Amino acid sequence: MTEDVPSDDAETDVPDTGKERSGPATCDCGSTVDEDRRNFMQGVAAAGATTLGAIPFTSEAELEAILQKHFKEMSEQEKAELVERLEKKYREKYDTPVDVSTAEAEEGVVFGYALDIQKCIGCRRCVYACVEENNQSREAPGHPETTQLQWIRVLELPDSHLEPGTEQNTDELVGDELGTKFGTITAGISYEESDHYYDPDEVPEEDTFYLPVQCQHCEDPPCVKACPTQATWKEPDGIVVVDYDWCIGCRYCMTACPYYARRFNPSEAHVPEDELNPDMHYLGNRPRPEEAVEKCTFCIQRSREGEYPACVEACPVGARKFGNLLDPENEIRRILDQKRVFRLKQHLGTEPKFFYFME
Amino acid sequence: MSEAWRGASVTLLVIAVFGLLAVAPAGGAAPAPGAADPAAAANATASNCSSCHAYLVTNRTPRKLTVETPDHSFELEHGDGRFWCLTCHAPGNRNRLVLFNGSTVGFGSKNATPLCAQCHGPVYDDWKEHIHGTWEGSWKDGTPKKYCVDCHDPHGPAFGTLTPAPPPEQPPDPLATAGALLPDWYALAFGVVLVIGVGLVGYAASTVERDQP
Repeated sequence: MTEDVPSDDAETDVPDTGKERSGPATCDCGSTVDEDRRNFMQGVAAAGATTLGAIPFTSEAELEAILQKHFKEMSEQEKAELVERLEKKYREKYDTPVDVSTAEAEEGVVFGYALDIQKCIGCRRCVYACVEENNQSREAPGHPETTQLQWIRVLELPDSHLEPGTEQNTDELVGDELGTKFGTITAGISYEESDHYYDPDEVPEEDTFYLPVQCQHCEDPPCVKACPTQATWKEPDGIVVVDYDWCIGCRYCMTACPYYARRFNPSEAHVPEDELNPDMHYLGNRPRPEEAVEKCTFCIQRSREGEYPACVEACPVGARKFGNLLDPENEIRRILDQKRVFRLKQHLGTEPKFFYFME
Repeated sequence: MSEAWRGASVTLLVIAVFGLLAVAPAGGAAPAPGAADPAAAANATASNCSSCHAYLVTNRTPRKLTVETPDHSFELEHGDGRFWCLTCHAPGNRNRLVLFNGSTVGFGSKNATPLCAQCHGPVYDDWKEHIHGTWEGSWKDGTPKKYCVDCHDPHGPAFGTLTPAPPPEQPPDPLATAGALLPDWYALAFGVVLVIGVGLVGYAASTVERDQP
């Protein structure tokens, strides 16, 4: 085998002389191995040449996108280049100047959210404010490839009621029914009985209450544990974010989420040009590439600038409250101190930072 | 019927008196311009109540009002019959509202907030702490988007209903999706494949049986 090495060198030095190829083959002990190697090397060279040949057909931006680092590992310089590349891309696609931010979490801030279920009337103003703010994909009539995504889902649930004189049925009670000496009380949140496609002429309807559900921004998020590429994580200010460029679209996180808070778009986001929100954040509302999972980010592009999320400002009855959990003077802390508060599926131990409250 | 007629005649009388005052060269304490015009009375807003009431004797007896222009005859759906107009409207100056301590505040949602707070203390406390109501701006120090009467009609504070925005689209029916994606002859092709497959399996089974002995 050792005598093959110089002959290989000779071959690489003078690759176009066919005669050289017969030289090493004279050694019968190494002939098959050598041919295998030669074939392998030729294959590698061909593959390399194909790859190199493909480079001129790949734009520089596409190449940069392929070689992009994980967002958390990027330097300031790399983030700046990334922002420049994305702004150029969106500017060309939507024909309007956009501003992509990479603002980081503020020190001493952990965001919390509270929703008054006594006030919510189920009008879905928050849903559409969210769609517009976050450049969510809309369905275009006549284009089945466009997907409608909404990060907020409003559930309509039957209100609690008391059936007097039914206390003898306590043995048969299941689910949310509770036998008391006054009668059977049906109360609580029963997802099986909930309806999110309700469409009456007027809301609120009689004997119902409404429960809007979106990303609960868990302190111990199961979706983050499920992600095989670390494309989703919890930021220092408590917002659970997704790096859409690192998401491979496996949807494990959607399966892991107990709140049905994550959405998957098999096609690229369809946002009409004139409805694009140009104030974007890399981890927030920039138009998502295809086959990425997305979800509520507490409007990271707004909350990191000190603003209320869009749903909070859109709510006509003031049921939605948002603030800094670390500031004792903040409205969110006052709600936790003064009101009756619960969290969804508390028994799962996900520790949501999204609270529901009532008087 | 006679009451309505009386109300209308009172209105006409008021307008006539104002007309005279407006025409008179030294028309008293600056009568509101245009008050003589019936159209102006129809357009009367909360800011110019005094254009009529400054010239009327205040009758403090709670009673059903019948003046129609502007409409004074609505049902008061606030306070379960405990209130009437002069509970909140200042008897001495109808362009202002009166607090329990006798001081007055102007109209306008922001000005009237202390008036509501007199009875609705806990809600007012919640509002001051941003728990009640709608706020905008920054979560660090939000500014009020609405004051009390911007959302709650003081004469009927119960919330009305809203038309909900459209529901999310239903997930597609799997059979309909299959029908749209597959060609028309997919059922036939499926049947043919099934028949051939069953035939092959059957033939294999029979072969196995034949080879057994």
